[in-house]
Amino acid sequence: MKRQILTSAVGIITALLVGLIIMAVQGYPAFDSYYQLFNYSLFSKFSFFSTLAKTAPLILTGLSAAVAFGSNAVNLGQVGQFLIGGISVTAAGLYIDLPPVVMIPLLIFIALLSGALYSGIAAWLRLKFNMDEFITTLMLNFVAQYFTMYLISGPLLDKELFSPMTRPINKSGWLPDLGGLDSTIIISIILLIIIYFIWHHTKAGYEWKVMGSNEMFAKAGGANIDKNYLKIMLISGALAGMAGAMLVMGGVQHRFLKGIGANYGWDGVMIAVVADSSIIGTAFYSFFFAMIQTGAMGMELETSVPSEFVLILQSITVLFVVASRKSAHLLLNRINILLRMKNIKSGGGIKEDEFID
Amino acid sequence: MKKGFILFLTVGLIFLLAFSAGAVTPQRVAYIINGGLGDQSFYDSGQRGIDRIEEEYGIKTTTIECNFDTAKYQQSLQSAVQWNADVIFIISYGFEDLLKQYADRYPNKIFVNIDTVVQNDKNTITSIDFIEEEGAFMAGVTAGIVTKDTSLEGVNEEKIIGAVGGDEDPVVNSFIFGYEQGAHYIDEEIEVKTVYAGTWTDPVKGKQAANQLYSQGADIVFQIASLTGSGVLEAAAENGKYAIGVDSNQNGIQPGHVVTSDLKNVGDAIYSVFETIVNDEFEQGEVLEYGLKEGGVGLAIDKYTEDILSAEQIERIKSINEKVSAGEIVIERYQ
Repeated sequence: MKRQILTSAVGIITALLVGLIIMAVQGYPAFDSYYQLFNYSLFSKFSFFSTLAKTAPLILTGLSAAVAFGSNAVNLGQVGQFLIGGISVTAAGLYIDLPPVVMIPLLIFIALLSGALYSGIAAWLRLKFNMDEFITTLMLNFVAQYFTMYLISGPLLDKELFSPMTRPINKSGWLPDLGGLDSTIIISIILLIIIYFIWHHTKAGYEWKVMGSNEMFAKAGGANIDKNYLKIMLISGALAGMAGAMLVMGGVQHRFLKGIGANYGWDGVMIAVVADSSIIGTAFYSFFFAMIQTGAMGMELETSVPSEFVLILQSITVLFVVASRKSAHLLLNRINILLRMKNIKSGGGIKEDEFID
Repeated sequence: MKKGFILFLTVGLIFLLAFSAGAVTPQRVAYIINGGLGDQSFYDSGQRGIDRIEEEYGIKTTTIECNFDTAKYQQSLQSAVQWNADVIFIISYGFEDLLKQYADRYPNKIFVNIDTVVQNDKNTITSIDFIEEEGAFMAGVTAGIVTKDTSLEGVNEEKIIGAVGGDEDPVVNSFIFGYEQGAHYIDEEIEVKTVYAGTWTDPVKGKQAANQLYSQGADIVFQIASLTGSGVLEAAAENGKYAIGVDSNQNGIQPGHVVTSDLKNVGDAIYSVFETIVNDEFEQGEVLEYGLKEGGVGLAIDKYTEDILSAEQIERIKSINEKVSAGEIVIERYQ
C-alpha cells in the first residue's frame, strides 16, 4: 500500500513538473495555468461538482477494467458495454413509467444486466470456442457503436431535434439532483465499496487475485478457472454498462445522444493500467483525470494554453507511473535489504513492520 | 486658465464616454461550437465574425471547441460562464437541453444560438436562424444548369445530381428540400440522389459517398457536411466532375471543379447581432431570420465560377437569385 502511494505520488509530481517545463518552454505562464486548471475544477462549488460528475462514470469504467485485468481477463470492451448499458436504460426509460422508487432501481438493474450480458457474449465465445476475448471484446465495441447509432438515428430518433438523439427518458427514471451535485457519484461510490469488499474480503476475490498473478497456481490451488473467469467478465461488463446508464439517468439531458460514450471507455482502461488494477488506485486516478479534464477548458480561456495540453499531462502521468513502478520496486527492495542487514547486524532481528511495502 | 478649463472638459468628456461605453459594450465574448475549427466551412465562417468583433471593438473574445466530444458540452458552457463572458454565441447541436438550463440559470447573460431555434423557459435565448432552403434552392438551380449542359467537360446525358449530408437532421434536410426545389425549377425531370455520411469530421467518408454518387451518374454533388465535405470536393476533382461547396466560399479549394458555394454567412450574422447589442437595439429571446434577401445565405459567384460556367448561365442564375430575393419565386420551407 505504502509502495503504491509512493510510486503514484512520484509519478504524478514528475508529470506535473514535466508539464510545467513544456508550458514554460512554449512561453505560457506555467504556474498560473496550473492554478487555473485547479481553479476551474476544484475551487468553486460548480466546478467541484462537475469534476465529481465526471469522476462517477470514470470510476466505473476504471473498475470494470481493473477487475478484469487484475484477474487476468482482458476485457477491452468497456466502450461497447458502456453503450449497450446506456441504450438499454434509454429504451426502458422511454417505454416504462413507474414511480421513481421502483423505476430507478429497475433501471440500475437493467443497466448492470445489459452490460453483463454484452460482455457475457465475449466470455461465452472464449469458454466455448476458445476465442481470445482481447479480440472479441474489441470487435464487439464496433458492433455496439453502429447498433446504437442505428437506433438513435432510426427507431428511437427524436425528430424535433437537430442532431441524432433520442427523446428524454421518463422523469421517474432521472437520478435526483442534490443541489447541483449529480447523484451518480453516490452510485459509483457504493459500487466501489462493494467491489472493494469482494476483492479484498471474500474467497472469490482472493481466487481472482491469484488468477491475476498466476493462473497455473490458482488452478493447482483448486480454483475453478472457467467459472471464475465468467463471473469476472460479467461483473466487469455490468460495471461498464452502469457507467453508460449514468450518463442517461444523471446529468441534464437524459437522452442517448450521438457520441455519448466520449472517451469514458478508453479512459477507464488507461486508469486501470495506471492504478495497476488496484481498487483504491482506480478511484484516485479517476478523480485525478476527471479533475484535469474538467479544468482544461478554463485553463485555455484564462491563459490560452490549449486544452489538449491535459492529454499530454495524462500521457506523461501514465508513462511515469507505469515506468517508475518497476524501478521503484527494485529500489525499494534494495532499501529493504539494507534495512534488514542493519537490523541483523545490530542484533535486533527482523522487524517486518519497518519495511516499506 | 482657459487651457486648464479645456483640459478639464476633455478629461471629463473622455471619462463620460468611457463610462457610457462601458455600460453598454460587452467586454467578453465567447464563441462555443459543438464541432471544431478548420473545416473551411461552417465553424470557420462564424470565427471570422468573432475575429472581426475582436478587431473592431478591441474586446476579449474566446472560442471554445467541443470537437463533437459530448463530455465537453457542459464544461464549455460552465467555463464560459465562469470566465465571465457577457455574450455567448453558441452552435449548440447536441446540447440544446444544457443551453436551456444555463440560459435559465443566468438570465442576465446574452446567449445567442446559431443555426437552430432553441427556446428556454425564461425566453432569454436569441436565435439566429438561416433560411437554408433559399440558399440551397440557388445551389439546386446551379446544379440543374450544370447537369443539363452536356457541353461541359465531364457532364453526362443523364439528369442526375447528388448531395452529401453529414447527419440526417432537420437542418440538412432543409438544405436538401431547397436543393430539390431549385433543381426542379430548372427541369422537373432532374433526379436528386442523397447520401448521409453519418459524420461531420471524416473527409474519407465524404469522398466515398461522393464517389458513389458520381458512379451512379451524378454530374455535380452538393456537400452539406462541414469537414466531411472536403472529401466531396476532392472526389469531384479526381473524377473530373463538379461540386458545390457550403457555408464558406470553397470555390478555390479545388479550382475548376467547385462551381459555386452556398454561403451561410454565420460570421456576418454574428457581427450584426453584436452590433445591435452595442447599439442597444438588441432584444432577448427573438428569432432572427437570415435569408437570401438579408444576405444571410447566398451563392458565392467569383472567377472560379466564371471559369466553369458561361456568362449567360451566370446571368441566368443571378436573375433567378433576384426573383427569389424579391419574393417572386416562393420557396417552400422544410418545417
